[in-house]
Amino acid sequence: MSKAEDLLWVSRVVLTDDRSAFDHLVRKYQSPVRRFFLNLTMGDGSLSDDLAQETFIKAYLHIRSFKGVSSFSTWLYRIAYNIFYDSVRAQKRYEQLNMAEIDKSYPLDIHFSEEKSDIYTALQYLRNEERVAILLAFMEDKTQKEIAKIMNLPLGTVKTHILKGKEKLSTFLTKQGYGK
Amino acid sequence: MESKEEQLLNEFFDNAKTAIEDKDFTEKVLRQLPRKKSNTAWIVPAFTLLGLVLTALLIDVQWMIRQLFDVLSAIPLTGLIGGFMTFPLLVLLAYFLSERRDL
Repeated sequence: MSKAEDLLWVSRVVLTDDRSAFDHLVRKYQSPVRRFFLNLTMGDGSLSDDLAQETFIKAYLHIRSFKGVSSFSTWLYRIAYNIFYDSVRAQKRYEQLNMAEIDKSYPLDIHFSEEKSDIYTALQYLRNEERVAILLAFMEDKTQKEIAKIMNLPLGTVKTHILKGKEKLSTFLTKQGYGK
Repeated sequence: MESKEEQLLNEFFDNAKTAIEDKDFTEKVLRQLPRKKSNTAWIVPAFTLLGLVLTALLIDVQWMIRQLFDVLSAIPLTGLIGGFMTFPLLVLLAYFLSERRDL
């Protein structure tokens, strides 16, 4: 029912530029998308909201490219993932400049939220790809096939990322006393 | 059958799976969308042109222009200037109000 509902809203946006239909889509997916970015950015609320806004704006601008082959949710997360990776690449280029100058002019404002520090600490032990795969699998309840479409990776690679991510996380969690 | 590892991770992530309140997020997104294109912008120019063509075909244009000059020459000069100045101001006001409505 949810997929059919999404297709209805999307078709109204595509055919008549119906803003209230797009409003429905944003309201429905704003929480999971923002939560996805919040976990990827280790609790940076303003950065994750900026990335989430960019995701929805890009989704609106390219909504005609949504063919309905995958679910709207998968298509949206693919945009979100690409936006996250663009921001990571931009950050890396940033870090190649003189770090002292950057710190002086652009103090980083990433802070861990107290109540979520465990999850962010745990996610720190993962590589970017493992982190994304694990979050999509365990936080956003995506199947491995959907994750492969979102990350544009072969299914086997996604399975490997999830497997390695699970191993690292469960080792960390066990050490922290979880599951006892 | 879920492994212990899966169970541990599912429990861990379930506790962290909180919904985020909208709090104007959707409004902010919609405000940043590009302006809506009007599908009806062609109607006024098309009908204006049609009206002009029909008028030119159906009436004696020379007679109409003579009548127009007779009417205009009967209006005092101050009235003519005031009328000509009022019309562009009214059009600007109408345009301004329609732009505000679209935002």
